[in-house]
Amino acid sequence: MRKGPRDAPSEYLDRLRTVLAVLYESARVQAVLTRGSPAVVVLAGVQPAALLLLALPHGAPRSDASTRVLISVLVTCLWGGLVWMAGGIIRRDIVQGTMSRSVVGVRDPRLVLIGKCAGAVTFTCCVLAVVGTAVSLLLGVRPRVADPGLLLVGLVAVVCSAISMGTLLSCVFVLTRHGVHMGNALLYPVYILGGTLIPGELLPAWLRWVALLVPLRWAKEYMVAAALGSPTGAALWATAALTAVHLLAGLMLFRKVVDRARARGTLEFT
Amino acid sequence: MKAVEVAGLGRDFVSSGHRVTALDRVDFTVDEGEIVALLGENGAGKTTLTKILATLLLPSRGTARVFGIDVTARPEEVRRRQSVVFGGERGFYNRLSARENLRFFAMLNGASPRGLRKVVERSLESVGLSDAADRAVQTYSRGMRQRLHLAIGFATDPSLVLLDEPTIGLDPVEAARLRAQISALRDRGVTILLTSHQLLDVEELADRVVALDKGRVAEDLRLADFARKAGFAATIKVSGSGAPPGPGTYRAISLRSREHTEGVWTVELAVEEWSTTSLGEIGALLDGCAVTTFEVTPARLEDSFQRLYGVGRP
Repeated sequence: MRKGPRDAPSEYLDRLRTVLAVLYESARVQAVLTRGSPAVVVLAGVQPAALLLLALPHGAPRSDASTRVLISVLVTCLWGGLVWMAGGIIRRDIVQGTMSRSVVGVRDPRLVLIGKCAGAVTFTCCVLAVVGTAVSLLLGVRPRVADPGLLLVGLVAVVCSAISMGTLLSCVFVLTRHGVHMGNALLYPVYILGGTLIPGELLPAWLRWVALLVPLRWAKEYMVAAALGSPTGAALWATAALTAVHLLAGLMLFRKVVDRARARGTLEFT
Repeated sequence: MKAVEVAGLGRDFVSSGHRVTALDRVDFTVDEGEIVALLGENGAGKTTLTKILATLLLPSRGTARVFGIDVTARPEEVRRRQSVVFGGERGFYNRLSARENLRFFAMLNGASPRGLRKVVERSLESVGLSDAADRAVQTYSRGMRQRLHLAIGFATDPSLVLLDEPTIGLDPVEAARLRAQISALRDRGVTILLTSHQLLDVEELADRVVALDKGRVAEDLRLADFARKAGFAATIKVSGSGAPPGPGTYRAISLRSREHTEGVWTVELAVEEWSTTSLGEIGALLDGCAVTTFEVTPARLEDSFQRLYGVGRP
């Protein structure tokens, strides 16, 4: 039977509701799994606390510098969390046999991957926020928030860019035999070259291009600028464009991951 | 319409530079509402075949269709019609509870987000896990995990269920309960393709047996016909005292063993087919003997299986 004009919107709404439900359930599951991981304690707890205690300017309770340092350290530590928590999602799912369930399921496994990355990123962000707040209170630092609304936009930009990077990393790490080593190898170079902790201007000119390709760097730039009251649209646009590119690349690679697994027969159901 | 149609299906793997054929020119069909058991030794190709139907593996050649839909060309549509029941220790998030696992995987299998809670509760109830639903799966016994696999597989009322070794590792009570649940699915008209080494599962559940040997279909028979492949209808163990039965020449029965110690004798006969001839020959063999026990054991699936795969042959 042909659908009437009134049926179409309700069908789209149903589909949208289903997509959101898949994203939400996947995020919820991954957040619970991330909560139980010892890595989150180190990467989102101990590491940012130590870096903030060292780097936050003492005796400057409300300054642009302390705001900049606080956001930079937390976003940098989010990168570390990404590599371990989101980057290992597919690999862990294959080991646990849950990847096969996702592949033979009715729902689009790409939505499951994005949702799971969102869960890992969101949980890591929450831990980082708690640590950042606790250390700031301990040191008596009160970050400047010129416009809370724009700061929230910046936070959303950070979360979205992190999700896109997590999706991409998760696929890259599983397509190579040396995914774990690659994760280790990427961790610290991106701390230095990614532009989230060390300003790009301090790096040699021939190395600055790395930071230009990292959406988290642009998202952090926007967030810092929003907190200080001088946000620029360019940083937000750069974040959006790079986030879209990373996400698309991640989803294309995910298709390759699934196609390769089906061709080689590497997915099991026992 | 056939629930499953497999034609000329083949699958090769490359291992250490050598091509290994796991499946070769496999043809069979499964009718709607039928329970078909895939039998075979380890490496016969059962899991490879099930993985292709489950859309987890691409075939090297041939076609496989589920309700007329090609599993290679339109895997997404196939997945909407069928459910794969996983087995063993893996396939769960061990740190999550059974309820959380079931909720997540039932949704992935197509359960509507609106009715998800009801589906989860009904599925937990159906496998008797309601009381332990909030425990982490890592604390579950093997049997409980298997029940959870079933709950996930059956949650979305699929038309076809692919079951791989459903009772492996279960105690007899758990296994019987599980078989009852699978029987209930048959009553609802669900088509089931069952892979099992537990021949009791096959005897109790299957309508038909497809036996694979070295990647090819060796037999495709109704269960009763497959049982006849044992080469005999029954074995009879007779004991008595005094003079033992004498040797003779028989056509419808054969003497398998004969013992005589301290005035007690035991003979074991194989009856090729129940007929007046075989009954007459049994009567003639035991004529004049003082029989104390007479045990008849019908040929079982295991006998057919052993004969088919040459178990016990040099």
